[in-house]
Amino acid sequence: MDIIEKMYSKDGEPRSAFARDSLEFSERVEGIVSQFGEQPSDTWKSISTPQWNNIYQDEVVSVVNRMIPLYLKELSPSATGRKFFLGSGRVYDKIYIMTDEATCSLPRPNGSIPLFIGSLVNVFGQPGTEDLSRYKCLYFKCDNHNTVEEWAGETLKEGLYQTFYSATFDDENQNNRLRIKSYAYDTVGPFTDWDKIHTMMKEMNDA
Amino acid sequence: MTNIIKPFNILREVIEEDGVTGVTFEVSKINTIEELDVDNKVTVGDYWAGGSSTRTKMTSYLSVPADEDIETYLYKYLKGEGWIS
Repeated sequence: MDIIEKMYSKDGEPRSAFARDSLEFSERVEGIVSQFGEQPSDTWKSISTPQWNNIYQDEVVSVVNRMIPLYLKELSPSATGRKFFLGSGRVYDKIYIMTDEATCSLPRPNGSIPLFIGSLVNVFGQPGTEDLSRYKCLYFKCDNHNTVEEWAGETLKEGLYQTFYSATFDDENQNNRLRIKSYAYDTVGPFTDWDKIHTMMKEMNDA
Repeated sequence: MTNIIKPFNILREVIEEDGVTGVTFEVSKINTIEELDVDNKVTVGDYWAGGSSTRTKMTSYLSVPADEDIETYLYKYLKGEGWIS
């Protein structure tokens, strides 16, 4: 199987993401199309297995886009994706915006480096009218795994090659922390070096 | 109030005969070009900055019947024509 990412959260089974050139990608796209109708899957980089999310009380399939849709450009995202809520039938786009130590106001473990903040976007015509933008996911790096586990108050899965983390907050409720995720990579791959990508993008933006 | 992003942009509206609304709009779509880099290297140009693609923008005009919601009618039309998915 061509798994390019494993994500762990204690409220659901591990989530696997498959690259677009894999059989699993094609099969999972077929499943999404059968439930949600035609999708722009030729612009997708990966698709995941469903994972239960306690915040949304639903099984969610995650897609990462290969390119940023033009209608999202005005939000200046660094990357984008789409979330399919299998139980409720809702669809939201997700945007990932660069952040850094100076501008990030979300809580995080000591010594961690904030990289991106993700949030869900309502797109006209997509099912799902509830505004979910209050839920902010902070994606961060921390070289000390124990520090993150202490901060999270739970054991987190660690990768052999690299581990990154994300915490979801409710920014309409004093940034109350709702969920912790770890992204454990055992070998190098297309999604494994968030920090390098962040550095390259910052250099491009500063140039 | 929920901020809803629209995958089209209405530029102008005019009233035609019998209450029909003429809408000038623009819409864009991405045409992908398969990646040459298939060895899983991480590159800014591939994953994060836009991938290999061309973008097509269309500006056109549509007459919307008087009893129809303009944005919903336009959305359904563009979805049916393959401009939105």
